[in-house]
Amino acid sequence: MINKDQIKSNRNIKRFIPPFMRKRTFAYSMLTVNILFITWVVVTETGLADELFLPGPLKVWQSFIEVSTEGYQGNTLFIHVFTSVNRILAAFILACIIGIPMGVLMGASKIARALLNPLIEFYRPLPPLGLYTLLVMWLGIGEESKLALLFLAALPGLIIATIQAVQNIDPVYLRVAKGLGASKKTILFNVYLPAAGPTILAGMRISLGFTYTVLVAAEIVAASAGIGWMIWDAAKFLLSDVVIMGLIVLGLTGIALDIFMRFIGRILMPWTRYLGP
Amino acid sequence: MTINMQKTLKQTKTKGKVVIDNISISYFNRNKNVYALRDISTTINPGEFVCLLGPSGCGKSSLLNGIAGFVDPSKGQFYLDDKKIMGPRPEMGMVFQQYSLYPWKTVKENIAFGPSINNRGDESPEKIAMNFLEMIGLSKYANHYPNELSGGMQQRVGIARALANYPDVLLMDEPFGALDSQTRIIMQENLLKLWREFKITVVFVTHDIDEAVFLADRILLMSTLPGKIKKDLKVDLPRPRDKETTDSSRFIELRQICHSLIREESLKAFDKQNQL
Ligand SMILES: Nc1ncnc2c1ncn2[C@@H]1O[C@H](COP(=O)(O)OP(=O)(O)OP(=O)(O)O)[C@@H](O)[C@H]1O
Ligand SMILES: [Mg+2]
Repeated sequence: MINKDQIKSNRNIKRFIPPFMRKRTFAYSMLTVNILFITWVVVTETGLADELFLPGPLKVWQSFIEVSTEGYQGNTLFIHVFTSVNRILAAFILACIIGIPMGVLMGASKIARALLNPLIEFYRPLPPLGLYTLLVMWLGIGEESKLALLFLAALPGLIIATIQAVQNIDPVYLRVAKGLGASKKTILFNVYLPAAGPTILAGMRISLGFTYTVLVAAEIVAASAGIGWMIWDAAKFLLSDVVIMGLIVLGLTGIALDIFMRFIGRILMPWTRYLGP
Repeated sequence: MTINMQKTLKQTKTKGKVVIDNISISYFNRNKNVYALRDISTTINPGEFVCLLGPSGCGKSSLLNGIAGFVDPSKGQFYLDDKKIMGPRPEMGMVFQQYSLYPWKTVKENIAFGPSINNRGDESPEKIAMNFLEMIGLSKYANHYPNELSGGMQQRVGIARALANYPDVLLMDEPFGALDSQTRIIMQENLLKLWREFKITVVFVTHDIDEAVFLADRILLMSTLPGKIKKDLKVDLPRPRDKETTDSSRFIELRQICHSLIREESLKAFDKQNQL
């Protein structure tokens, strides 16, 4: 028999470690990462790849140190990352504030869905660069058009996921609340939002990824800082080490934000830790 | 149980009369109007334990959902204590056929949900929830989530959630359908205990004959397509009932009666469902 307090304290520690790291599958993921890395080393060391296009890990590491300390085109790596992540988060949070209530409304009401659907369905398939040209014409080349593009990229995924989430709520959950005499407001906060929560979180994660994919496009014009801009600018001078370093750093910030969102999700929705055996 | 609760119970003793007045319920399905129930009338008295017994698809859930106010009848009217039932009412508690606890609330929060909405007495919803948890023997699981509980435990919490709202009528839709027979018998005995304490009206849906005979004051045997009340059977077994009840000759006799009536119906239902 295991002591009860022990189980409890184990649970308390464990719940702050992301579940994916607890699993053995995490080890397999690390294996893939290592193989990729070793391949990179081998391919560059043996001269199989042209160093101009694929520099070795050491060179990339050096450029990381260099840009971190001396900067790239006047700004350190930290400033570049900070600027971009700020833009992404500002646009993404705004998209959540607008998109999630909109999605709940559209999921719960057919009329709202019919009215609002054309808005998002139309621009959703448009290529970001095409959209950006228009946004620049309307909003100028400053910060506004960048944020607008990132915002528009984040919005549809969020709305669609939230609609799905609300529509998939088991009707018995609504009956329970109505049977107990719950008001509309009580039902919104005690049934709709928590029931849809996990799916909305999944939508937020996908949506954040989508926001990242348009970052470079958003920072092409009239930026002097931003990791997307740094990658774009370095590519013009064939500085492939900076490009690769920038992509890796960008990717890592994306993973960090994703883990952070899941962490917040586990705090806001503690029951998801116990779904299924 | 606290003194407070006893008071509430005594007040509700005379309430909980359900009148089913000439009810038909139909569904519009595949461009056809299909009657699930046709011209059903009966009166369920305060404090009575009534079982709706019938084969699958005969409209038991439809009738229960009608009483609960979740489904509107296409004809006729339901009354609760002589007032028309126009929609869900907190005076009626429902225990659903499927698991329906909120996975995002702990066991305690699930039970406290009703009291927190209605806030009748001077006791806090948490206190009420803890009292009910003690009653169903799950105090230890107060802060667990439903997914951490077994099916039988979840269904007990479902019953407690409905009772915590102090309803006059408890509607139960095959609450023990998914349980193994041993657990089921224990649950039935516990339910009778709760019913005795609370003295509320219970309408209990089942397709299990033994269950119906063991629990009910009265069994409404239903026929199929469209659903009707084929037989209104009084169960005159003495109370309190326990394991010995099921061995008595009267129990076996009543079971036999139900068996033959049901068999007829099931065969008919099977045939009808098989026709194109
Ligand atoms: N929402 C619905 N739409 C269309 N038809 C329905 C609907 N609900 C029930 N029915 C039909 O009404 C009839 C009665 O269904 P009901 O669920 O009331 O039966 P039941 O006696 O509870 O069956 P079971 O014991 O299997 O739960 C069935 O023939 C079913 O096909
Ligand atoms: Mg049913």
